Amino acid sequence: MGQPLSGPYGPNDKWDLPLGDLKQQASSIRLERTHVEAAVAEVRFVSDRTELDQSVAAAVLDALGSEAYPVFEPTAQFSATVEFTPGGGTVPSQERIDGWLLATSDRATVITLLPSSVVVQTRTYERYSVSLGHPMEKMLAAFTAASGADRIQRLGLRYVNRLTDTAATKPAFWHDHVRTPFAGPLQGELGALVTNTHQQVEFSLDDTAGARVQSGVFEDQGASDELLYSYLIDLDVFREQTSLFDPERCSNELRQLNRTALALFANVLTDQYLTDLGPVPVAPTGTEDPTLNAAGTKENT
Amino acid sequence: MAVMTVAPTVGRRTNRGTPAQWRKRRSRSYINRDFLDPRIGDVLEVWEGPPATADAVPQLRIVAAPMVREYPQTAVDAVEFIRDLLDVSQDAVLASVGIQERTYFGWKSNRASRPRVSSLGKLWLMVEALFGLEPHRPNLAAWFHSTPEAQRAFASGDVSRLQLLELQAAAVGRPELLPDVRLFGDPGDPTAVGESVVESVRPARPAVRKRTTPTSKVPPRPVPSE
Repeated sequence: MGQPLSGPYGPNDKWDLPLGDLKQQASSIRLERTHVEAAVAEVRFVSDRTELDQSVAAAVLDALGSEAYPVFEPTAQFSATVEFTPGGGTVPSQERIDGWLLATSDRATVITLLPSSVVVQTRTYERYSVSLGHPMEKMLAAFTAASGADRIQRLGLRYVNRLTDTAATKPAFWHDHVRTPFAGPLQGELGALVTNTHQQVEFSLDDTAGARVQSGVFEDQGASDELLYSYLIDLDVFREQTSLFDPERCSNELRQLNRTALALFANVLTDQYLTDLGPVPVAPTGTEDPTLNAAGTKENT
Repeated sequence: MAVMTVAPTVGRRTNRGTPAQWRKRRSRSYINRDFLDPRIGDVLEVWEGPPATADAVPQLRIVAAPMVREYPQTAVDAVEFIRDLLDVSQDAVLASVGIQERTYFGWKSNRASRPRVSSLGKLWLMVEALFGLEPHRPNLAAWFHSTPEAQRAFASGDVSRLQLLELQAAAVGRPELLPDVRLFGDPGDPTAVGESVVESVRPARPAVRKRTTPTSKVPPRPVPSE
């Protein structure tokens, strides 16, 4: 995936600290018993275009390598708008934004290119630098050069983690594995009656950065088709700030969001359960791949 | 082609002001659920609603939810459905689909009655056609009132021509998308097929000669007895 951008990596790397004064967890967490259903990095640009030229998508494809992404097809995003006028009438309209989709042959990794955004989404997450960080750096360089987009509007990372356990035959299984602030009714008097939960918490991390954590128990299917109750943790960390595109700053801010997501994840589950999930030590900060510290192989975020 | 659908959200304008200190709801980072495990996609749909939230996409002006029309279940509802969809008069609908006004008001005064099939005319054919057309037009009534040919087709109850007009619009520059004219209307009725419409768009098709039977083997045609 090429060399990462240079940056102030190392022990004093400020980008390697989570936002919001969240407690920094171990330099990396690898959890062998979780599955990242989706890891997504999204960079939005200021744009009023409704169509992305094919040449821009082709430039991104060339930067990534067409061997890795043999799927190259148009995509479109539709939205509907109905405005209610003062007279009581309605003015419906549809908006269509055309872009391009690149994907691996099994579509496990999908890149969506729209005039105003670059998104990479994968369900074969290895670690941040390999799965999201470096590909995004390459894509952004090619995208901005080819499209002329130069003003960033929003950066976002999203991780959807599915925790499954063969012992989780009842929702109450999660009673002792989820920290109290996120457990909600599971730890209350009605805990035994709970079948599904959904909690959404929004956090303000600084003036322009925030996070949304959705979590809850849901009915799932085990390997032998038995009914299990799995736990889903959907982390969304983002920075909404319009600024001129600076590749290095963008890369670092995404790393920072990744570190923040990791810290948030560790705040959802109990320390004991994190241990049970099988954390594996990963090389400490600055010793190998400088972005490895933001996430480890199969780590939770 | 992969398609992402952005679900509209409902926004309600009120006269109440918003305290400045209220934090604007932050948008979500985009995720394409088409590429998720179906079970996880289902859970996220329950949690967040249809495919993606409108606020996940910048530059959108989502003001309110679109009006979702339900498919009519009764003949009376069907007439009103057409009337509202095309913004035409009730009389125009009845004339178009061939329903007697007296019959219609009979249904309306006794909703429990079951209309006879023979009295329904082309009512359900027209409903079916318009229900299918609506999603393809941001405002079907606007299209209808700005398309004289559509108005003529409606006035004459020509359902096939209405559908063909929509197909024509979708097939501009791509005549191969147009179906064979024989699929539409009564092949014996030149006014129902819309041949003039199709011929103006489709490239001329090479003439196909039918194999003819040798004259000697053709039995003599009976002479009309009249």
